[in-house]
Amino acid sequence: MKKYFSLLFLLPCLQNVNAQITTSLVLNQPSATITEWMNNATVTYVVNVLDTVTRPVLIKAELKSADGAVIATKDLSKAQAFNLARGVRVFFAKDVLPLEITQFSGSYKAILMKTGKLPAGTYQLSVQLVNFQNFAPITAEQTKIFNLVAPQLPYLIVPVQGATLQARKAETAIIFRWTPLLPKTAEMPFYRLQVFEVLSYQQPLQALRGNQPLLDITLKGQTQYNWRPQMSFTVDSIPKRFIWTIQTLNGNQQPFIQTASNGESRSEPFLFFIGKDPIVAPGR
Amino acid sequence: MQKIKPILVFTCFFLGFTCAAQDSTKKKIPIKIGGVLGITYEGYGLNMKPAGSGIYSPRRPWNQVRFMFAPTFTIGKNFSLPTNFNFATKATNFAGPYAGIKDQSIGQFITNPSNNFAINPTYKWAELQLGTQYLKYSDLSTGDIGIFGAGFDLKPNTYRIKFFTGISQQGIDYVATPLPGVTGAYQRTHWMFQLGKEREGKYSLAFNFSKGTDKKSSVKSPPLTVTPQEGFTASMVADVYFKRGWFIKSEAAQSYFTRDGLQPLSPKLNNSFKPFIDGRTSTGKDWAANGSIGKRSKKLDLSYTTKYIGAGFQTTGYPYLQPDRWDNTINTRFIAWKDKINVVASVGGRVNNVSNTSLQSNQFIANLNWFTQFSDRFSTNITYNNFGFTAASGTNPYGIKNISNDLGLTTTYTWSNTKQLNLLTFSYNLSKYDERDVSTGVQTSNNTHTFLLSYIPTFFTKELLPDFSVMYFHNTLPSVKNTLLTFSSSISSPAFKKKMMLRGQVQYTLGKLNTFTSNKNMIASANMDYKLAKKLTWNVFLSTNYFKYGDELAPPVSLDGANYLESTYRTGLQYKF
Repeated sequence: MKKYFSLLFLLPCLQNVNAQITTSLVLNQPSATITEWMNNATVTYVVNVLDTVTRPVLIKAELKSADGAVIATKDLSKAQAFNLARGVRVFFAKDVLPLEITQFSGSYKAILMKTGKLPAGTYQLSVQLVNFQNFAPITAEQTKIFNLVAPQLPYLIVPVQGATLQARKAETAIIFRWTPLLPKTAEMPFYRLQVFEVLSYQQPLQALRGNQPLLDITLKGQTQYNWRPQMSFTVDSIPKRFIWTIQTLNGNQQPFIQTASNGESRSEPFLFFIGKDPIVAPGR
Repeated sequence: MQKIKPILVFTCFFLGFTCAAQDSTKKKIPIKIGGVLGITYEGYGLNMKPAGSGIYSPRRPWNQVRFMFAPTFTIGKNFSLPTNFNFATKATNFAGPYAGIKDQSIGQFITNPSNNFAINPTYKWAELQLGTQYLKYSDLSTGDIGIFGAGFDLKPNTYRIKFFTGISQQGIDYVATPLPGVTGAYQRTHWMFQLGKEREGKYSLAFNFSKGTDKKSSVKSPPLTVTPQEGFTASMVADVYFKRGWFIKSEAAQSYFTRDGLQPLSPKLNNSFKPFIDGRTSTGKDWAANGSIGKRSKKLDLSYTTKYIGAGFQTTGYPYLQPDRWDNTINTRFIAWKDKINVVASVGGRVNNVSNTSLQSNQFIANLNWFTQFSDRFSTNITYNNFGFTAASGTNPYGIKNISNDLGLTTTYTWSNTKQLNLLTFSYNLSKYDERDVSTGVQTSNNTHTFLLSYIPTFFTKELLPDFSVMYFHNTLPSVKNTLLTFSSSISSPAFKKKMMLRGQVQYTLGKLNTFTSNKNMIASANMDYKLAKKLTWNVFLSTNYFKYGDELAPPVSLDGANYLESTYRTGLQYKF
């Protein structure tokens, strides 16, 4: 009987507080690599307190799949309490869904531990202010539905790894091809094609990281480029080796994937050689 | 710099000790020196008309001086001291951690990938590794980046004990302006260790451990797009070689990789591997493996190779390794028809995104190189490469489908008389690239036909060696038609009692893009190698490249007929010990 009495007492209180606090949740292109949310304004939770009461609150957050199954829950017993006073306060992902106190469910936890990414698909993020002692709701739950994609950098196609090109042909044109960024994104990526000469005493990666590229061109969307080297390969007595790679950039010309391996969004480079033409006469 | 100082001091001390040890001996110990010493200057010039139009970007530093000092001192039977000092005076980094850097500190100069400072004193089976080293322990642990530091490589009997620690990059502050700025990087330290047993040609068993850590406090102005990382990798390599050329090679590796060291520790995720790495919320652990089985013989090689890289597998020793893939290939090489046929071929596939964190894609890869020597006079070479890439449609109406096909045929015919040998070569290439639009399903074909005809006469009584070639390149896309016609001729001849070797080449290319007026390109190059002394060679290389556009850059009208002149000049002295 006491329980019902308490509930009857709490209900008008909740409505009253609700009226005094308004919240809004904004998601800005969440990445599948969930730790990237922590470094920018991927999640913005705005709280506007209208009254003059200062109250400690917790931010409750849940990540759900498209069908509503909970896949990650914030451990409220370890969550940081915030003192809300009159005015507007903005919270970000590190406040809303700190990963160190978020419990992921079975298969999601396993894949997150391996890849640091959530599987591609549709998700829901629900956020709500709750009482810091009994976790009773203070505001209505805000839910946003969003899609996740886990882009895969292009793979180089031709010239293939270790290929030897005929000098005479290569002097006129060399064709470069690579696979597109996967999956196709609404925003067309930029591909920066770079070709570096590997000097005779250099390691291939030494040249890539140390030399000025002979070709450095940024292309929007296209996955083939015909390069006219405008060089003489047959006359120079120094054998020619080149290393090439693709850097995938977003619309702001910044690396598309910043937390994977090299952080530069550069695809695994290929080495190719300019050989003596098979047409070389004996004794030359 | 603090970590570099002890290495430099230790190096000086070690060398001093070595010299002192040699002085104190009474017996005369033979000292041999081999290797190379050289200096090269490269000059570059670019003039554009209209000036400042930016129609072409410089592709070399205006001036660059490179030094190379790579002698190997051998003292007695058992001691050798290989050194490898090569460095450039100007930083020219465009990719990697040093991208954009102009003014370097001494520490940055020493660890700049452009430069190499290495000494590897070796006594019998013990090698001390000092300075910049490119150490490949295995395919999945560490291997392709240069690290400045100190370590050793011991090979007593069949045992293998290796250790190395050092810095692959210094802390570099982020700089926004002037554009393009400096990306910046955190200082990265590494250590690596290998314990193994090996009998060459019989077996190899090794355990590898490698770690790389970015130091967060190494920069005053942190990079905007780079996060501090930390990675630990452990791997096991097992190779066995049997009789009659059969072999099995394998490696399995486990990595722990923190993508963002600024994220908090995460005991809940159970992704720590103490004492080597403390797991953070951005730490992933995954595995990778590769293996091959096959047979090698004089006339036939046949092998099957597989390589799996887990989606979360990353190692600081291979920063450009692309994860989340599984490759399977069958490779062969055989010689047939009384050694007149030589074939190298491979066929296989790759599955990307095995973890299925987004759409899985499949690639089919096939390569063939078939050479046939029909007679002393006539030979052909056929090459074929196929690369098919497909991915499911996902949210798009159609899936990705990119198919690349390259077919090449080269035939060579020789004939001779009493005065000269003639060599005629004809080469044809068809390069086809089909790409499907994921929204409309429309397939576009990018086709390229290349024809090359070459003639090389070799005179029996003259030392002059000319050659002539003409090449036609025709590339079409639905809205683009690009044609290039190149005439090229080169000549080479010895001079000054064969002390000097001269080569020269002229290339002229006429290009036409769609209906624009033709562009023209003229390249003249010359090279001289002159033996000043028995061991001293002087090299000069000159090249000038003039390119004149048609009206493809216009409007504005001022760019109609725009042109540029690019010159490259290189001269160097090389002394071979």
